[in-house]
Amino acid sequence: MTNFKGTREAFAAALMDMAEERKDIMVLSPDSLKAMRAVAFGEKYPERYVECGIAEQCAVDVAAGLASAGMTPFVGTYCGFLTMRACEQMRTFVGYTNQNVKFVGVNAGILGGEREGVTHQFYEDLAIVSSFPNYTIFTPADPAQCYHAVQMAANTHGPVYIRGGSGREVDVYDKEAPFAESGITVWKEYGKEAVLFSNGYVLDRVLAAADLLKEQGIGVTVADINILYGKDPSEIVKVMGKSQQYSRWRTITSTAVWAPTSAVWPVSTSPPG
Amino acid sequence: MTQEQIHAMAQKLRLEAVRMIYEGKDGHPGPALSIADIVATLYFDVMNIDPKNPQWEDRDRFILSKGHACPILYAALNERGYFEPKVEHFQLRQLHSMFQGHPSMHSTPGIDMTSGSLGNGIAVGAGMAAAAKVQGRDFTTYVICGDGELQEGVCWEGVNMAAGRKLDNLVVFVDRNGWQSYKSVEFTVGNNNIADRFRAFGWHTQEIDGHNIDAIRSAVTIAKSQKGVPACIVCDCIKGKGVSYMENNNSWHKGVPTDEQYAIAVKELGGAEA
Repeated sequence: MTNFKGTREAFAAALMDMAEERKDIMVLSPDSLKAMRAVAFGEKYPERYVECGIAEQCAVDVAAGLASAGMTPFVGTYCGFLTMRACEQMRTFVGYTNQNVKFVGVNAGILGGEREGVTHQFYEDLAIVSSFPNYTIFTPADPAQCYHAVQMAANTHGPVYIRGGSGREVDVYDKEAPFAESGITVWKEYGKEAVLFSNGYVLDRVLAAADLLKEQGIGVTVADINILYGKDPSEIVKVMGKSQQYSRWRTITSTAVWAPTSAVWPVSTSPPG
Repeated sequence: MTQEQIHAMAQKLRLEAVRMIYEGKDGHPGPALSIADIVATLYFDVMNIDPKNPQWEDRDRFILSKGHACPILYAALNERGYFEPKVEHFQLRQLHSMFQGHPSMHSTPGIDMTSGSLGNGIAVGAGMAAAAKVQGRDFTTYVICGDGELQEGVCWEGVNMAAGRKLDNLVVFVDRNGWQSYKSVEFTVGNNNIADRFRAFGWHTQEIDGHNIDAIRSAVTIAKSQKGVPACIVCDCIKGKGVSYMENNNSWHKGVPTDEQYAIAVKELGGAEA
């Protein structure tokens, strides 16, 4: 495994570790190669790096064309420029057509914080992509998970959207821990008073919160949901059953609030109160 | 095929397009008739395709970026043998029909890309052309755009990228009939200097009569012989071409002929009198 620090570096490392064997993998850049830390890929595999210029809609369309001819393009840039600027292209030419295109949207969530300002900090992406047909959504919780998510995306047929961070993500998982195919990893089982469903790069804080609650005599279960709209939600349902009351499920995430919960509700018989 | 045979096929496609709109009571006849000669030339002379194997990896690709003109494409696919058995009644725009109001690649054999959301065909086609380059395949990707459609910004993103990538295996036809949904292109944006714009982006650009089969054929030959640049063929076309009351009459952008109008169209297009 190539070394990396943040999630963007993890994205680039995962691609580099696959690219020699996987000749179908391409990188599409709406002038985002540097932002995605993928300059090395562009230099080593110039024929598989397509520069579209500062034109996200074009990049998504080109990816759809490439995928229709059997390639596996990754399109990476700031997540709002993908999911909002190129929203319709992601929905129509990749989603409805079920093309094998992978997206990595970075600066997802509010962790970009004061550095970036409103134009480069996005919490709407999951709500938007959740409404598209055929997408599987990967929400890794740290850089190592992002590395494994990118590799799993390359082996998942159809559109995949991966959430990338802003460079402030805390390492939580063991670097070798796989990206859970079940879509859920239980981290703490302090009790049955509530289940805290974490999602994405807030996991370290959710774990800290569980410890604080424990000190106050409230025992909770903490689970990281890493796949939204995965093929098999049975493990998620099982964890839900560990809570004594439906009203004690909580989702803690860095996104518009309806996105992750809407992905969990359909698998239950009745929604949280 | 000879020029006369392709012309006859174009007329047949026009007749079929009008018939499916008449039977389905919905659709866009004017935009479909405008491109009949280009589509007939592509599907019956130019393109390297195998109707029995629509997913053949080395086939030439076609994107109808102005997807609302799809009746003419459905007719071409039917006459070319993509559907088994041959379709008699298309049920255009009807529930459960495979002939949607805009082309859908997973609904209809032979449709290489879903389209209809205007502006995206050039960039998607550039993706297909880029795939051919990286895979070492020698297929050509053909796109038909409308002149009104070129008001969409993403068109020019694709035009820019294709030139930068030197995609000489991408050929874009522009159906310059001068009309769009409401009024003329000139009314809408002031000018229709499509060829100048493509040239400015570095594309090899030709301007031809879009109803002259030989002109279309030789323009394709010239376009494919260019090295290192994508090619644009600006085709002067008549919206509604072939049906007298539809020609240059923009009220036929979308519309359904009455029984009497349908009979006139059938007669003018050389079909049996209704």
